[in-house]
Amino acid sequence: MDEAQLIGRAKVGDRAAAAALCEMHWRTVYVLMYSRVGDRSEAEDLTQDAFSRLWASFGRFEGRTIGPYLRTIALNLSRNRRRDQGRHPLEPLPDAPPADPGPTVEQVVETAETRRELMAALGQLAPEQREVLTLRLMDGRSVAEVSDIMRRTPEAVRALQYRALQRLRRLLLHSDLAGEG
Amino acid sequence: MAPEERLSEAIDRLLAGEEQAGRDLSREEERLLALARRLRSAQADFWPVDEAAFQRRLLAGFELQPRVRWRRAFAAGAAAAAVVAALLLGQPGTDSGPTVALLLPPKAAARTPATPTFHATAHRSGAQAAASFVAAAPMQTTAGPGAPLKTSTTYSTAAVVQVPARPLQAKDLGFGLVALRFPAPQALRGGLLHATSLSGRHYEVAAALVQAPKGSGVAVLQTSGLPGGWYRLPMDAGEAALFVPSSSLVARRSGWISVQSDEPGMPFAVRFTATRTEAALPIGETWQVKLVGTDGAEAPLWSSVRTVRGRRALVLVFNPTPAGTRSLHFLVTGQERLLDVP
Repeated sequence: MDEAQLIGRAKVGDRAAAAALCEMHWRTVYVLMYSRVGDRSEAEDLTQDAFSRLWASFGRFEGRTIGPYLRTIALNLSRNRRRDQGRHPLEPLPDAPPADPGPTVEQVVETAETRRELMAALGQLAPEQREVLTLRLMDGRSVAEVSDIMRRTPEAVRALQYRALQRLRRLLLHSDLAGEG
Repeated sequence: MAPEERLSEAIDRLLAGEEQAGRDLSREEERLLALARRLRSAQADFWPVDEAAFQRRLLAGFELQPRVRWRRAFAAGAAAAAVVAALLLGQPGTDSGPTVALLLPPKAAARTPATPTFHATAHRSGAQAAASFVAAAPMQTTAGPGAPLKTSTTYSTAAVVQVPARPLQAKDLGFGLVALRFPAPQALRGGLLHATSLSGRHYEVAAALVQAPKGSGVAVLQTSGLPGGWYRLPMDAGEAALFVPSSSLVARRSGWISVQSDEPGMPFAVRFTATRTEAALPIGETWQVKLVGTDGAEAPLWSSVRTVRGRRALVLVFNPTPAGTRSLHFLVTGQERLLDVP
């Protein structure tokens, strides 16, 4: 069943069709949100908001794919969030080691520290840089897919990806994460 | 081939799981690829922890569509309201007023005790608590999805209205639905609401997402299941309260806060008192929090900042702490600490 058919089924209340649409698009929205806010919890909340808005207006939606529409909603939400954040500045809480420490506490802490450092650096990139890296490396998208999602040429995507990794490396130069190993 | 293209192809190989992804790269490109590999391996810190649960959250709005349509009809006039009320509540002609749809997990609906009590507090954004009501009523002990539940609602002004409610399409939705109607349209307009059951040992429900469309005077409250059940509030001791003297707790306006008892299957109530400046905790500010059961199940909740006993507090969960519980395993976005219940 193609996306247009799923949309048609979802419009008449088919939950399975809605779930399929959700499965098809949530990662892209989440990546976009993460690229804007640089925080998993907030990205989750904003993604949920985006889908809530989608469903609220779903009856009026007439397209054959919801991707671009969702992206517009998501971008508006992230803009609103920036505005709201100006009014109520947020301060991220530190992450913590996993509840189940695994092999040794030291190893777990080290891994957690490494990841935290990496994710923190990712959060300092420009939104487009963050988006291209998360789409490519977290979501495993091809250049062609990223090109389609970000509406850039494949060449531009590759260049953006390269610059993003360079910038990330500069941000991590003080640590052993800078790509030496 | 340009460096960007070479690196991109190497990343493609990395994504395909090739061990020799970095062949033929310059030293600089190798470093960037190593960084890409690190990022790839940090996926666990990127995606939602429980993707299935997260997708259910995303679908919640879709599942509420019948109620959205109902709200529109409701706003259109009394006649439509009666029709929709018939659809939703199974009793046409009931009095007008906003309805709070409380979605219950089917298991909870099936295990609802004989005399549950709902307690809900509505808030308007940016204002202090605007309304509260207590709904106490007999429910059928064997009420399963689709079975009727009887609920009476007491508004804070002591006005009492009978509220028939029943789970709706629980099998289809994955939730039961209890609709509570109460006469305070202005109190909910554009606001938020959270609700808990204060009794019912096996009642696995907590308030979560509230959608209060502007101007409609109707809020939809979505809930999801809690593991371990609910425990009766020790009224003599008041609500269990946890005062956390850490400024880090109140530094964020939104985000998840996980709370967990150190005793198996014991959800509990906590109340945070902020030591942060008032600016960081504006009254009416809402937080989204998440109750985590010992089996890992999670229940998202809404909470808000209020003045409690003259002190600014973040009220998180109303579920009571079992008597005798002295320590709680407490996670704040992953930061673990053990704290005593005062």
